[in-house]
Amino acid sequence: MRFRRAAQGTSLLLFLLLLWLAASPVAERVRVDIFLRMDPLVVLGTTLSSRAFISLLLPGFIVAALTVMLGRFFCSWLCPMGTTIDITDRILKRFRMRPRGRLQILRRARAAKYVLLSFILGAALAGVSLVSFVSPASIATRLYGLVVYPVISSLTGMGIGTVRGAGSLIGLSLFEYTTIPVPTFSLQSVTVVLAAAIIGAGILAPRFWCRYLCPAGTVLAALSWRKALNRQVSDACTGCGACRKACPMDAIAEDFRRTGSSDCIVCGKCAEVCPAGAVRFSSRKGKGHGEGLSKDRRVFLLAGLSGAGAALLYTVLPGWAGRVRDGKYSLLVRPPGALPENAFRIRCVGCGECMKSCPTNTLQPAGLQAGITGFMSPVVVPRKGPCDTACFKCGLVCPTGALRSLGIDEKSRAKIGTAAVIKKKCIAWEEGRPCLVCDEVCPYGAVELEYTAGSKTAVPFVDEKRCNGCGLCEHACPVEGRSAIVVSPDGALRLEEGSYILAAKRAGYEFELKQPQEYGEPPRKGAGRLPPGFEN
Amino acid sequence: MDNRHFKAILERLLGKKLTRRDFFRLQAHAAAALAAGSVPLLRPRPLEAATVPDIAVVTGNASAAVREAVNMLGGMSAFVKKGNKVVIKPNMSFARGPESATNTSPEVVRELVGLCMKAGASKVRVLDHPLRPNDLCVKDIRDACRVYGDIVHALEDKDFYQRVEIPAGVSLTKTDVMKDVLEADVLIAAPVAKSHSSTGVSLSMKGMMGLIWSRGIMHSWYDLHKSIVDLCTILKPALVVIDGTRVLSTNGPGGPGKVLRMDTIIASKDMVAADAQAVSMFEWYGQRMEPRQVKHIRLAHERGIGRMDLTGLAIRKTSV
Repeated sequence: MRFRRAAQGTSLLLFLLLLWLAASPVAERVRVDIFLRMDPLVVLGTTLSSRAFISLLLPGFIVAALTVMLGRFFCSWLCPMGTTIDITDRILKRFRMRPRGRLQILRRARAAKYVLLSFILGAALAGVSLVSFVSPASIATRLYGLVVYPVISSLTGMGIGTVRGAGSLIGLSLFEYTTIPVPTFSLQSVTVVLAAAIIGAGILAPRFWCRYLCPAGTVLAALSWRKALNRQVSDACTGCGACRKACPMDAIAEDFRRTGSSDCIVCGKCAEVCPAGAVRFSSRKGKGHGEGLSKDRRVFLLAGLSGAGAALLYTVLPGWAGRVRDGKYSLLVRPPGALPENAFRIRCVGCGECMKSCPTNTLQPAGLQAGITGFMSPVVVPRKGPCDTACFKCGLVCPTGALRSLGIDEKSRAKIGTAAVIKKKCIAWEEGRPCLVCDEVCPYGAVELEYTAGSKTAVPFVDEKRCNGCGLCEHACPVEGRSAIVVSPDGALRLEEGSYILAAKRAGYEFELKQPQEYGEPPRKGAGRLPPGFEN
Repeated sequence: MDNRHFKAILERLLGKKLTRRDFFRLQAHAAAALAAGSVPLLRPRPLEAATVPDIAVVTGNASAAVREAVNMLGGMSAFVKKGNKVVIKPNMSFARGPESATNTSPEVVRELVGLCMKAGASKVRVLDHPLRPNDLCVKDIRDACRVYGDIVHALEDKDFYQRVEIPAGVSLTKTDVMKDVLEADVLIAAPVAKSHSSTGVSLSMKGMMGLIWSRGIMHSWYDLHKSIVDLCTILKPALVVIDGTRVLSTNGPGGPGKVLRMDTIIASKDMVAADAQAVSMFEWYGQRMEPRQVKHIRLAHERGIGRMDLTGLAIRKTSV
């Protein structure tokens, strides 16, 4: 099945290309998050937790429908995590321990993945999305977007620096001013550990994650139980067992003609290795694994119970689960267009696509300060970068609509918070020394410098009606460490639906970018007679 | 008054320790100056004063005015020799058009680049370290200079800067300066004339902050005016051309503010003198100000970086 491998490789490359393009203008015309929207767990989990049909997730429903007929082709042809595992397994194969008795234990533990899935779906039904922890597309997006990409950027930058240095030695100006921006993300270690565990498990068995754990694959496994495309073994079979050995999913029974139809990912490896050419896939009914349904039924029962347990846990311990009422207790500044906090958490799958797409690097994954339900959800960290007034990428690339896709007009009205001056840290307020950086950088004219009674110099004030929360001031504030002007989520507009333009108007907000045409004297209450910055 | 006293007074005036050699040289100059009956004690006017003014002020069309102003100072070849590397430092920190007077007029920058090229410069770079990572800030100037190649750059990576000591620094004693500037033979300051709410005005001296990596520290740790002067002890442009075609009279440096259409170019070898001239000849917040009212200009004068006493300087005005 060279064709499959080529298609699988192409699919991973396409995934990486789209991820790379997430920050480019291409993202305005092409949906770069297509792989996330095909991930069965993202689709099922989010649909259950939000109790809504989200049209963005249509590709996933199509995958599901095809799976009923074709089986788990997603796992072997499309899944970026699956392909990654296939690649790393080729290396890990050399270090793989001989299975002996362990494989038998694992075979019996196969039902465990149903338990994991149903726990997640149970929680989803109760309105808690745990998708970010275990969705393969989400983890792959985080791994490649938030870890691999920065590392490659950094190495490229070093390479260019070396070439420039070498060039200048012989009088050539190569890459004279070329720089490679290197984004940085918090919690990279968490992603690395998670991905390393998933990939490293390949040392125990091939596609260990896909076989025994992956909840997305399990959704597909359930769907492909009675699939139409089945493995057929003809009488030419010599019983050599090569297929069973080669099957990455351990889907072939001791009787080589029998196949576990929900374990099979239709990769075709068995047909490839069969010396007698006895294996092919066709629409005839296949021979099952021989393991009865009764066991599965018990598993489903267990699954239902664990789901209910999760739901109960959630209702009894709302704080523990990190449930937050609409913005009321939220201390997190969310990206523009984020749904109201609860709805947002229910939909966000923590994939990090928005963070990868963010040109200023302000979007960072939240750790446990956002609670378990907010794990890896995006927060605005202005000290890293401001929310660019002209940018609306994050909403465009969100696979579940946790961030609404907004045009620039709507986005620029989607207030994310309000800046406030920390007077004790402010150079002008506390030390009476002239500083105007926040006023200088504010694109909305929301920071005003005014003279107050007894102030030695003009001090900054924030007009919350004009402040959009972009955080340029917090970013640029020259004070060391934490900024002397800080954006909090106060006054953020979080709409489930409807126009931000209208909502902003209703709230009395005026977010107008400073126009060079609006010339005029700045209001200077109680100002001295001298122009600012001059002495007597 | 014996020599020891005289030296002490001079040291206080200049704000720095004098070596024995400095001291003797100054004494000799002073003696010569006194003999000639001229007033300025510390910096006698150079011999070519009769032909070359200290400050050239030209009104008229921007390009022509730049050409004429540089011409009055002896032409660009007086500053740029064949094969020299030149760095021009305009203001290009704001994503606004020239009409807002927050950036140097692209026409002025282009004319300066052209003059440098004509004088035989081997390499001309137009550099700034803008406040914001935004290509829109440099776009107008980059487009205007495109005929001379890809020479306009906003350097936003620390790799392009190098740590240097500021031996004469009072508060700022070391900083990271653009490598291109350190390697350049000639530095030309080409600021736009604008008000600045914490430093009064932003002209050639304040503009030097655009050649270093971390200017935040100048705001937060030190008296901004003092550290500007410290910076100007190592970053002293050979030529200053102030763009007064439009003057941002209020609400600088970012605007929007009142823009005065002055169609004026001020040029000088002395950054303090050029800045002083701009302060005194334009209106700031509807008022007439004196150079000494801008603290960094006053301090620079006191520390001997240049002269703000316009009455003692040869200023030639013309229009084209």
